[in-house]
Order: sequence, then structure tokens, then C-alpha cells
Amino acid sequence: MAMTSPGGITDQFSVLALARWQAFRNSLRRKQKQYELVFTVMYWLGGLGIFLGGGALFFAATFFLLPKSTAMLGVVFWILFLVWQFVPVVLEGQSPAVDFREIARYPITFKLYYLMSLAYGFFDPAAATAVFWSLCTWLAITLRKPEWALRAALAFALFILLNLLMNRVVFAWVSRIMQTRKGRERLVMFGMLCAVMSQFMVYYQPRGGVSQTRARMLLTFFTNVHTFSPAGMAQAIISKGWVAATTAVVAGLAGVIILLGVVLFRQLWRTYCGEIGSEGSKRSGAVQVQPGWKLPGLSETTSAVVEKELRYMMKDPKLVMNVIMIWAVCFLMTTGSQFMKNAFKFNLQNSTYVLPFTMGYSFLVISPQVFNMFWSDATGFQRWLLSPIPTRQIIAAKNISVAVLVAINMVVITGIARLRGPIQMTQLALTLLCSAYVGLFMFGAGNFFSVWFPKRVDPTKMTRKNVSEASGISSMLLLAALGGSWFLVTVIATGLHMPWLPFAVAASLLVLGAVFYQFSLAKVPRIAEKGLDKLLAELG
Amino acid sequence: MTLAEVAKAFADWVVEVNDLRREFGQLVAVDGLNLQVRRAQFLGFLGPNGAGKSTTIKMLTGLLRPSGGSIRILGMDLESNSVEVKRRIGVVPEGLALFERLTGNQLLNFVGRMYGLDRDTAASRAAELLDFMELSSAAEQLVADYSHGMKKKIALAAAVIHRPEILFLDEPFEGVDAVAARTLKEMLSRFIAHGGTIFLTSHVLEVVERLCSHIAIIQNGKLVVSGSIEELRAGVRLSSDSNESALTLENIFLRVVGVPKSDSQELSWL
Ligand SMILES: Nc1ncnc2c1ncn2[C@@H]1O[C@H](COP(=O)(O)OP(=O)(O)OP(=O)(O)O)[C@@H](O)[C@H]1O
Ligand SMILES: [Mg+2]
Repeated sequence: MAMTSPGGITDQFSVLALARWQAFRNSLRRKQKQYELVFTVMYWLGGLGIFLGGGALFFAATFFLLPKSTAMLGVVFWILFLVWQFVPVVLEGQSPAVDFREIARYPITFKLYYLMSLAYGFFDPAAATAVFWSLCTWLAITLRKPEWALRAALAFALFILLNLLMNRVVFAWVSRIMQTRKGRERLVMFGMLCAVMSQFMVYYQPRGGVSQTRARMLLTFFTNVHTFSPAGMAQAIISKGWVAATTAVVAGLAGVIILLGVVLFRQLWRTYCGEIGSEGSKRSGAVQVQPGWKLPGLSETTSAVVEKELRYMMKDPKLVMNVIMIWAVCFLMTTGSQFMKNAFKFNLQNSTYVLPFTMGYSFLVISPQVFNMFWSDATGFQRWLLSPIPTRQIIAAKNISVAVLVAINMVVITGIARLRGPIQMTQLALTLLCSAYVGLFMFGAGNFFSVWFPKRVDPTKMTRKNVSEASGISSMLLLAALGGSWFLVTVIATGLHMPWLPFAVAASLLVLGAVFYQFSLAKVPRIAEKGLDKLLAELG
Repeated sequence: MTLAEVAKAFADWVVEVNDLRREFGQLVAVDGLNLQVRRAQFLGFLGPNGAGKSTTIKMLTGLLRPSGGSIRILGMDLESNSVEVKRRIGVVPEGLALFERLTGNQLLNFVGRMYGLDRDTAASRAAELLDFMELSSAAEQLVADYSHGMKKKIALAAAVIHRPEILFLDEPFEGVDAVAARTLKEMLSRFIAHGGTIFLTSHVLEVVERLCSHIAIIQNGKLVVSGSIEELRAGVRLSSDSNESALTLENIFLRVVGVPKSDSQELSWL
């Protein structure tokens, strides 16, 4: 082969770029992809707004607040950290991605591969945004305190490098764990351990009454956490001057970075060598006869489909990670509210906002499963068509599976919130009612979008984008509208002293949602049948 | 022939294809295909790459809609009775169509229940099939981690778990090792002996010659010849008065679809 003579690094980059470009051009041959392009442009325009607006905000905040208190830098670093680490996870379904296992197949050197996978981390929208915001902040610092410019540059550089590495390491690590059954079990064990620990913490703290000392203790605790966090260390480098302490901090931060770099090196080396995780269980002997699940109230076939869907969800690292994240956020919010109450007498009832907020978050997390319901089936999609199960039943069963996930999630969230004190039954009922109508509208719309704009995704790949642009944007808009309606009604009702109003509105929306959902079940199978070629071309 | 006999002959036709067409844009992949398969026939459906074999199988199994023509399977019109037809046929499609994030055992259980088996039947048949296919050691492994041949075997297991009346197999032998191929061949022969019908495409002509009772060859989407192997042999002998004693299926195939390129045509750099 003439191809094997390794050209220069720039050659290799240009070959790769060309391959991407040709793939993009080819994909535009299909009508559906042209629609996609329109939505992609919209998506990027919206993103650009956040990108620039946020940058201006960071600049202004630093410019005006820095002279008053350097503590604000800590907040800035925390926001950057959270945006970088968590937004990609939540929004990953919506962001473009390259699969590095695929790239490893091109004739490229490992050095280039490592560099590229790092560089690619910058192309993640959240990462690019965080970097840009960092630049804006740095500019503001430099304008206000020119003598800090150099140290700030160092702090941001280290901070950015750390974030980049951490993001990639955590992602690669989780995807690896999720590939084997043992790993998944360990992850679940870890989650349960955290739950038990959190209970312990709950009982450690006083339930009723205001305890200023306890609140102070917590505050000290959080301050210590902050000091040793990447954000705290970066802040220290800027604001503490060139003293020995700062040098130590720099060294500490650099140490963490080197450690992460080595871990990533090992992970990528494995991928580069083409290894994929596997159970590797080579038992001999007869196969165990294991009957599938029979779910109450569902027919045999529907049970079977729901079982398959739930098994798939349990093997989806991103989904599992996101669900654990919901629980963590729920826990933090309930803890936080107690803390606010104790320390500042600022009382927000758990059940009024924690439940709706975390439920809204759950709907965001499941939206790829709803708006692109066939995404994880990959080649298996054809089997739906070969099977004697009517399309309507398949779609309904897929909806039921997601509903089961939402219900489990709701129970856990309520349990966590309950740990922090009693929950008002009316609030719980309202949350249930609202979740039901939001779910019905989402499922109904999702059914349409799943066949209008399907997108095939390889479930074995971690880096991916699992809804089409059109579905992604539409699901966001729909969720925003539904969440907005929920919020608005609650606010208005509180203002007007009409606590029954949200119930009335939610109940009528529930009826509307049910009608819409039924409509989707009647209509979508026919759309799917008519557009079978299109569906197969994308999914089969 | 009496009317009753004619009716019986019609009733025996389990696959009837009339003037079947399928276009992909400009390209006509299947062009006016007419074909009948009787119960308990083992049909080898042959043709060069791109002839339209997979496209035909996809249309016969409801994966693809024809652009024209009609399909009757088991005496029923496919379009209007697709659910009932799908329940009674088994398919190994071109892409295998496996849910690869399930383990082999879970997959077979699931497919069995899709076809309306109850949980316990599906579970016991799945275990039996895994044993039969020598996949027991991989039963708890994800199908995604299977080798190509293992995937083929599990796809075949999935095709027969519900005891279909007709099997549509798109290249089941390609990539399967000799031991497994033998197991598969035995299974298929038994299936035929019990009154099943098989519609098979393959490029392994020795296997086809050994197994199939009937052959149909298509080229460019059109049926070129069809009949029992003896009929084809006789036909070829007549048309080309060569008196080859060993007229293998390969020879027949090459005759029918055209001889290979002459030696003068070769790649410049090889
Ligand atoms: N989805 C599709 N879109 C466009 N063209 C297609 C599609 N599927 C098949 N074709 C075309 O139809 C023709 C027949 O393809 P088919 O897959 O049926 O061939 P085949 O006989 O199965 O070949 P092989 O022996 O290689 O499997 C080919 O020219 C192919 O390019
Ligand atoms: Mg084919």
C-alpha cells in the first residue's frame, strides 16, 4: 500500500479533515440532512449568543466586582469548572462528536492521536465556551490589576489544562466501567454506598431548630473543600501573590495535571491498540434457563420489549451517569436548602421547588430516549420490522419503558427530599400531576420526531450525539414551554392566593396531553410505514 | 389434472412472487421478478454481487416495500396480512438485525417472546438453541462482543426459535467455520424433512449444490433460470453441446451469468 508511508503531521491532519468534509458533503445528499443543516445553524446561532453574552457577563462582573472582593474569582472558577465538567454530560446528546475508536483506525501515530484527542476536548461547545469566558475574565483582571496579569494567565492555563484532562479521563473511565457487567455492578454499589453515607450525614445534623454553630461548621467545611478544589487553588494563585504558598499550590495543581495526563495516556493507549472491554466470561456447561420479566398489567410481548429497553438503558453509561447526577443534585439542593435555612434563616420549602426542579431535570436527561427512540437499536432496528409486533405496540412499549425510568426516578427523588423533612402531600400530588402531563406531551411529540428525524447512533460508542439537530432543538423548546407553563401557573396561583389553580390547569393539561399522546400512537405508525425507506436508510 | 389437483398445487405454493419490482432512484434493483416456491422446497437463490438477492429477500420479509408487483406468502397477501405472515416466517436478514447490547441468552429469549412464545418456552428453547449452536460458553456475553461467525449463528437461532414455516436466509454460511457449517446444514436438512421451506442465498456454491433441491439465478434484477438442479444441468447441456461429465453448479452458474473476464484484462500494478 502506498498509503502507509507516514507523511508529516500536517499531512495527516489534512487527510482527516478531508475525510470529515467528504462525509459531511455526502450526508447532505439526503433531504432530511438538509433540514438538519438548517437546525444546526439555528443551534449554533443560539449557542453563539450564550457564548458571547456569557463572555461579556464574565468580563463585566470581574471588571466591576474584582476591586471590591477577590473572593468573586472563586465563584468564577467554580462556574467555569461546573460548566466544563457537567454541561457536556447533560447536553452531550446535542453536541457534535467524533469517535476516537474510529480515528484510531486511520494510519496515525499514537503521539498525534493523543494530541488530537486532547485538542478535540477543546472543540466541545462547553469547553470552548469555558475557555472563552476564561479569556474574558483574564482580560478584565489584566485591565483592573495589570500586576496580576501574569499570575492570572498561569492560573487560567493550569485550570484549563486540568479541566480538559479531567473531562476526558472521567468520560473514558465511566465508559470503560460500563462495558462490563462487573463494572456496572460496582458503579451501582458505589451509588448505594453514597446513598447510605448521605443518610448518615442527615442524621448527624440537627433536624429541627436553628443551630448557628452547626451552620458555621458546615461553612468551614465548605471553605476547606473550596481551598483544595481546582477552583480554590486557581483563585489562590491569582490573589495570594508570589509567596511560597502559591508555589506549593502551583506544584499541587501541576501534580494533579500530570497524574490525569498519565491516566489519560493509559486509557488512550488501550483504545489506540483497538481494545474494547468485554465480559470475557468463558464458562462451560449448560446454559441457564432464565425466563424474561413479566411486568404486571402488561402483555407478554409488551413485557418483553420493556425488558429489552430497560436492559439497554442500564447499559447506557451516559444515561446512568445522568440519573446518578440527578440524585446528586437533588441531594445537594435539599442539603443546601437546609443549610440556607439554618445559616441565614432563608426558608425555601424542599417540596415546593426541589421536586419540580429535579423532575424537570429528569425530563431533560431522558429526552434523547424519547425524541430519538430507536437511537440505541443500531442494526437491531430492522428486527422491529421483521417481528410480528404492530408498530403501535412497539412505540407504546418504548414509551412505557421510559415512563418506568421516570417513575423510579421520582420515587428516589421523593425519598431523598423526604430525608430532609416532611413533604407536603399537595405539593407531591401537584408534582405528580405535572410530571404526568409533561410526560404525555413529551412522549407524544417524541414519537413524531423519532420517525420524522431519526438518527442512528452506535450504542457502544461513548462520544456521540444521540438526537438529530431538529429533534434536539424541538425537545428543548418543548421542555422549556412545558416547564415554563408549570412555573408560571405556580407563581400566579401563589400571587392570587388560589392554591387550587395549578391543579385545575395541570388536570386540564393532563387531559389534553392524553389526547395528544393517543393521537401520536394512532398517527406515528402510519408515518413510519410511509417513510420506511427513509427510516431504514438512517437506522437500518 | 383435475381441478382439485390444481387447487392443491396452488395451495402448496408458499411463496408466490408476481412481477416484483424495486427501484432505488434511477437504479432498478429488482426488475419484474416471477418466482414460486413449493412447501418443503429448499431453494438456492443465486446471482452475482449486486444482482438483487438481498433486495428481494427484504421485500419478501416485509423489510422493504416493493415498487410494484405482488407477493403472497403462505397463501396470504403480504401487504394486507403482514403481521400474520411475519409470525410464521423466520429470517436471517443481510445485516443480521441483532440487538447487540443484550447477551446471547437475553437476545434469544427476547426474540422468542416477540413471536408470542410464553416466557418459559422461550427460555428453554433459548438454552437449547445456544447449546445446539455451541454458543453456551458465550451465552452471558454481549452479542456486540461476538465474532462475525458467532453473530451469524445466533441470528440463525433467532430465526428458528418460534418454529417458522418458511426460513429466509441471506448468506447464512458466509463466515461460519466448518464445524458450525455442518451443524447448520444438518439443522436445515431436518427443517426441510419436517415440512419446512427454505429460501436461501449464498455464494458458497458447493453447499448450495449439496443442500438445495431447486435453484433460481438472477442477474441485474431479472430471473435468468430456475428449476431443479437436474433441470438446469439438462438445460445447459442442451444449449452448449459440450459433453462435460461433471457439470457442477459452479460451471452452470458461470455459464448462466457469463464467463469471467479474459486474461488480457489485468490490474496494472499487481
Ligand atoms: N438502500 C439502497 N439504496 C440504494 N441502492 C440500493 C439499496 N439497497 C440495494 N441497492 C442496490 O440494489 C442493487 C442490488 O443490491 P442487493 O443488495 O440486493 O444485491 P445482492 O444480490 O444481495 O448482492 P450481494 O451478493 O453482494 O449480497 C445493488 O446495485 C445495490 O447497489
Ligand atoms: Mg446480498
